[in-house]
Amino acid sequence: MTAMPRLHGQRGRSMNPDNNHQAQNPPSQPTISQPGSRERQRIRLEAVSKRWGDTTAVDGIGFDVAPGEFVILLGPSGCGKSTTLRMIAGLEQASAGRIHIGERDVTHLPPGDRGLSMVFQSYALFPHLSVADNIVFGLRSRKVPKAERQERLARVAELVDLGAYLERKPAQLSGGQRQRVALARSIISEHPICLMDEPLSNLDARLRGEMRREIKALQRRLGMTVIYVTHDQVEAMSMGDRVILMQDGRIVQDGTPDELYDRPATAFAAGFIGSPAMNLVPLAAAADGAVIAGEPHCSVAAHEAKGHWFGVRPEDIRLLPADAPGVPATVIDAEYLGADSIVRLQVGSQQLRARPEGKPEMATGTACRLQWRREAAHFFAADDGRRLAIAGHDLSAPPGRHRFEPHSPGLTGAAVSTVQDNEAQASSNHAGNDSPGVNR
Amino acid sequence: MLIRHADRRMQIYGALLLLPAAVLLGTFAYLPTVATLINSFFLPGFRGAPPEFVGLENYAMLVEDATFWKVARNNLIYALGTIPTSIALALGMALFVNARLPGRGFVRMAYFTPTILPMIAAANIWMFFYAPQIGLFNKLLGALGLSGVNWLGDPSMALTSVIVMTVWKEAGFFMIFYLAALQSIPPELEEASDLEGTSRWSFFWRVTFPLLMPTTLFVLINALINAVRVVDHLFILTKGGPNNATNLLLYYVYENAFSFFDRTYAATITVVILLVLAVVATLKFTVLDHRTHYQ
Repeated sequence: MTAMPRLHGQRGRSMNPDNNHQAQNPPSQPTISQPGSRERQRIRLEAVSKRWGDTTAVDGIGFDVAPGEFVILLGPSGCGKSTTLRMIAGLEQASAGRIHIGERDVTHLPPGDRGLSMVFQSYALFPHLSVADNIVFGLRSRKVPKAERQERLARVAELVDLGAYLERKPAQLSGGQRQRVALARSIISEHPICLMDEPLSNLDARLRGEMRREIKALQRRLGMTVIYVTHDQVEAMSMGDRVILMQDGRIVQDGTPDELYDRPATAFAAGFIGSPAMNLVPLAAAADGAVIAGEPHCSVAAHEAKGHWFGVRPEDIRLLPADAPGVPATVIDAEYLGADSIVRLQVGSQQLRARPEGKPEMATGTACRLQWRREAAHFFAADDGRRLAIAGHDLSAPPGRHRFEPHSPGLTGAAVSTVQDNEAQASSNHAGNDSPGVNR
Repeated sequence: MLIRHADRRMQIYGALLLLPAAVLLGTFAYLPTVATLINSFFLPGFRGAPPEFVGLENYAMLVEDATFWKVARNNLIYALGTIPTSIALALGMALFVNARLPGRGFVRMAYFTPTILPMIAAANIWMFFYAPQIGLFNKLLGALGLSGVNWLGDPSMALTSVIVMTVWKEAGFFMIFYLAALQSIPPELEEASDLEGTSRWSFFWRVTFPLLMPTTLFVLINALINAVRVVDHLFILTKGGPNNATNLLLYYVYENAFSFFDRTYAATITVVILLVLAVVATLKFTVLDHRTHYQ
C-alpha cells in the first residue's frame, strides 16, 4: 500500500520487546487520527452466552477491549468465536449476558445503532454496484450529503490504494482488491470499532502476509479498535495486541501473543499455538523424579510432576551428540525446510519433534541427547489440562543462556534440580525468553 | 492434410450432436412457421379446388376487421392487467415465504398449488366461483346484503374476471423463480447493510430488486408469452363472449381456423402475433439487458 510507506518499518517482528511493551498499553500508543471525530469507546462483554436449543455455542464469556486495541478471537472452527463477534455486531441476539459499547448497553440494539463496522469473510460486496458505490453504500443509508460522500470516498480510496478501480464491479477485481473494498467500506463509516470475521481466509498465502501488514498498519494509523476473528495462529500472533483463545464456547486464555506462547494456560493452548505444535508427552515416575514415559534414565522434573503432561516446544529443543548431558533420544527422520528442519525423535515410548536451524547433521537412527532451558519446560495437569506450577530440571547449563545458578553440566540434570517457586518461574519466563520461534 | 481431415471429422461429429435438436426444432417450430407465413398469402380452396394465391389481400382484410382490432385491444388490456399484477404479487409472495416464518413449507406449497392444477380444472373451479346464482362470490356478496354481479356475463366485467383468474394462476408459478433467485442472494449482503443502518425498504430497492433483475426479465418474457397464448380457460369460461368482450388473439385464431374454417385468415393473424411478440421481446432484451446485472 503506497499510501503509508512510513508505517511499514514501524512494526517489524511482532515479538520484539518494544512491541510487546506497546501491546500491553494500547491507549498510550501514538496513533495518527483521521480527521473527523472518533469517540474512543471501550467494548465490554459480561457473561455472554448463545444457545440454539440444546447446543451452547458461546458459554458465559466475558472480556474487555480497550479503545485502539487490536484483539484477536482465536480458536478452532466451531469454538464460538464467530458467534461472539456476531453478537457484538448485533447480527445474533445474545441468549444471556450483557454487551456494552462505551457507556451504552447495546445488548438489544439493532446492528445499525451500535456504531461499528464489519468486514466479512466473503467480503459481502454488492455485486451490481461499482467499487465507489459499494464503498459509499452506508453513507447513502445514513443520508450523508453527496459532496461529503465524494470527499470521504476520495480520501479512503487513496488510503487503501483503490483510486484506479472505483468504476469497476467487484467481479472485475482480484481477491486482494475486493478485500480492500471491504476494508474501505468499513473505514469510510468512521466508526471507531471495526469487527473482522476471518477477512484473509479467502486469499492466497503471499497476499495474506501482505494484507496482514496493511490491516495492522491501517489500524494503527486510524486508531481503530479492532476485534478480529481467525483460526490462523500466525495472524493472531503477528497482528494482535491481545489474543483471546477460545475452545468449546469458553475462553481458554486471554493475553498478549507472547504470554500465549511462553505461558500457555492449558495443554490445549500449548498445542494450538506454535508450528509445529508443542510436544506433549506423559510423564512417568522414576527413582530420581518424573521421566518421559519409557525413558527412565533422565528425569525432567521433580516427583510431583509424574502422571501429568510435559510440554516443550520443538524450537526449544537442542540436539546434542550422544556424549553430552540431557535426555537420550534416537533420530527417526528429518524434514529439511531451508532455514530450519523438523526432526522427529524417539524418546522412550514417546515421539518428540525438534526444530533445529539449518540442515541437521544426524542421520536416521543416530543416538543423541536433548536439552532445553528450564523455562522452556511446561507442565499440564493430567485431568483437565490446566497449567501446573512445576519447574523443570535444568538439563544443561549452556554458557550465555543460563540465568540461574551457574554450574557445569552434570551427568544428568537431576543432580542439580530444585523446584523453583512459582514467582521465580513466572519471572524467568519473561526474562529468559530469548528464542521466540513464532516469527521464524 | 491429416490435420484438415481431423478437423472435418470434428465438424461432422459436432453437427451430428446438434442434429436431434435441429430436427425437432425444424419440424415442430420453424417448418410450421414458414408454412403459416406461406399460407397467409393464399385463400383457402373450396370443394377440392387448389388454394388461390392472393398476395397481401388477407392482411388488407385483417386491417379492416373490426373484430380483430377489438380482440387485439382486449389482449392488450389483458396483458397490462395480468403481467404487472402477477409479477408484483409473485415477488411479494416470494419475499414473504423467504423470510423466517412458521409453516413456511406449507405456505410455499399453498402458493404454488394453482400452478400445478391443469388449466381446464382451474377454469372449472372458477366457473363455480363466478356462476351468477350459485357462485361463491355472489353468495358472499349476498351474505353482506349486496346484489350479485354477473361476473362472466356482463361485457364490462367479463374481461376483468378472466384477468383475476389468470393472476391467481400465474403468480404462484412466477413466485418459484423469485424464490430461487432470492435464495441465491448471500445473507451477508443484508447483514452488511444492516450494520450501516439501512432500512429494509432501502435495502430492497438498492440491493434485492437490482439483483433480481435477471429473474424479472425472464418472468416478464414468460408472462408476455402466456398473455398471448391463452386459449384453454376462455374455452371453459366464456368462449370469447359476450360479444367478443373476452376474446383474445389466440382464441380468435382458433375460432377462425376451426369454427369458421378459414385456415389462411387464421394463418395471417398468427403471423401478425409472431411479429408483435418478436418485436416486444427484442425491445425488452435490448432495453432491460443494459440495466440487468447477471451474476
